[in-house]
Amino acid sequence: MSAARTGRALAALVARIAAAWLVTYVLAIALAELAPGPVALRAARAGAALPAEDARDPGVRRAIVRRTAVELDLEGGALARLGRATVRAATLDLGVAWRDRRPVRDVIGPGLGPSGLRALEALVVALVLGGAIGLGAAGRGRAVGALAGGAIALGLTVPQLWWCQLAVAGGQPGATAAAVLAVLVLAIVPAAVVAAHVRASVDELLASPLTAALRARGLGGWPLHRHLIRLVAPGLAPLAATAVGYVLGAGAVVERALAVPGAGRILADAAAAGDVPVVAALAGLAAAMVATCAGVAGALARRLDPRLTEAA
Amino acid sequence: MSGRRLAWAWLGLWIAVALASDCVAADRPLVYARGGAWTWLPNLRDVGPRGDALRATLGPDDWALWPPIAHDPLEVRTAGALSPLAAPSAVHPLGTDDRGRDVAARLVHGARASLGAAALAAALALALALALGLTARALGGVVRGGLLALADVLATAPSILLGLALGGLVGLRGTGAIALLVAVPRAADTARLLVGELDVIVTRPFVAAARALGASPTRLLLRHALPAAWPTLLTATALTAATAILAEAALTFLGVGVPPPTPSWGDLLAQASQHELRWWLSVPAGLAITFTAVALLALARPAR
Repeated sequence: MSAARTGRALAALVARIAAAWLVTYVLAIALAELAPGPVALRAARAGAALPAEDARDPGVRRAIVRRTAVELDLEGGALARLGRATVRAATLDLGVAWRDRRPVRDVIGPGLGPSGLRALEALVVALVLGGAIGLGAAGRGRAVGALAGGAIALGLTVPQLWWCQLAVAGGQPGATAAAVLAVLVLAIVPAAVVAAHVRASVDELLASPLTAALRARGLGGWPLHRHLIRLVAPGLAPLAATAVGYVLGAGAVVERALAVPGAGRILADAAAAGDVPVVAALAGLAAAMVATCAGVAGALARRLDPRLTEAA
Repeated sequence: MSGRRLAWAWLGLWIAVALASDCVAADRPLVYARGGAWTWLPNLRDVGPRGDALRATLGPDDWALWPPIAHDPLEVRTAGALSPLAAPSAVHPLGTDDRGRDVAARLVHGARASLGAAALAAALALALALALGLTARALGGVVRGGLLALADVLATAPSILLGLALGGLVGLRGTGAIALLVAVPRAADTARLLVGELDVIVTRPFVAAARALGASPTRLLLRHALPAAWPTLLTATALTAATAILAEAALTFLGVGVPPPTPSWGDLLAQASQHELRWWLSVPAGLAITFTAVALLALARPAR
């Protein structure tokens, strides 16, 4: 690939990530405008600045709401607020959290590292585990096929929450054990998807003239499988974006169920409290991460299979 | 019995239970005779005394035919006493939850919320996918490119993240919200499949023959190509229903799913996590969710 083409591909990827971030963030803020009640009132409630209804006289309530609007830059109409949010998103200023009254960056920052690392680890485990199951089950007898099919079906259908409950049924694990269990639980569904894809693709390739030709040349066992893996791998690229999205979403369930720190737990707590800036920032970051993985996986697939570049 | 038949039997059983949940689990009898007067289906008409209050008024010649589970899913007292998180017993075959409500009754009535979300999501996704896919195929060109690009973006949106975001931003929750959150990304995925399938089907000889006989493009698409794409659409629809059942459990656990006190399978699983994994909360609901999702997956397989 020439340097100019690589530069263009990189620029396109960066533009895609920026668009995913900006559109999702602004859309989230716009959606928040649709919720019932004035925005400043909801912000005051999220920050527990406003106790239960009728607890204070209307004058005090109005003063608190006005002060909240000033503090959190929520004055003016919906369009004005949306315009300011767009500028903030474009300059990567995430604003102030409604609940904690701290910069959103400080609220979500501690969770991003553990969640990102966990997602990456889960994807690697899914790729290795799913690939091994798929390769192991392809072209085997009915019993092995049925066993692999059953394992894949269970992987796809058992709720993550139930896996977590089964994992801690023997007692609450320590921090390290909980972190490992979280990665394993998150990897189950993507591993099942990878296994199903690899098994179907390898079965198809084993019946193709290509395999017959390779076998005629004396290839078998691992050398033959190496050829097949290279042909199957590009087909996994389109699954990457869906898998990342899934892992980020399921992370909220797994982090809360296994009591491990992460952005998913922060998102769940912010959603329950109606903390719009935190929810919008995490939704935007998730969209950017999905776009990044889709772009990188696509580039890897094109590198592995040059026909994809020609087709594009 | 083949896997497909087993899947239909399992789903049929739960659909029947969900539809007739007021006759399977209720604290009013199906029929009772008191002082020579018969009262039919007080459980459905929501009239007359309940549970122990009725039993106390029945004389030696009176009788009552109770549902298999003689508890209401919202009833918190058993014989006048609170018994939260009680283990399975003769009175409560699957124990009670943290408020003292009968778990078996909540499992039966929970089928209505969980399967309802699945059915609604499947119907919504199918309708949206048909609208999106047929419009893209019929209009072609820029419209097709634009709609497919939109479908590409929407298909990668994870339901749990969407649910959390919309729950936090708009306060959207409940069965309808779960159905919508699952249906949108699944509809986008199904629409992509539909367009790809239609692209292949229109090259087949029977479509060419219909075209040669003078069929209009709309008729070709709707009367000839679309029926051949139904197996793919039904497969995707079964997967949507399975996704909705799993999403209900996750979103209810995170507090943005079915709101309390409405019973749902996800609510039972969530309670198990909050109360040191009482197995009678976790196992029945977990098995119901898993087997229902497996059954839907099995139904999707032959068509695939």
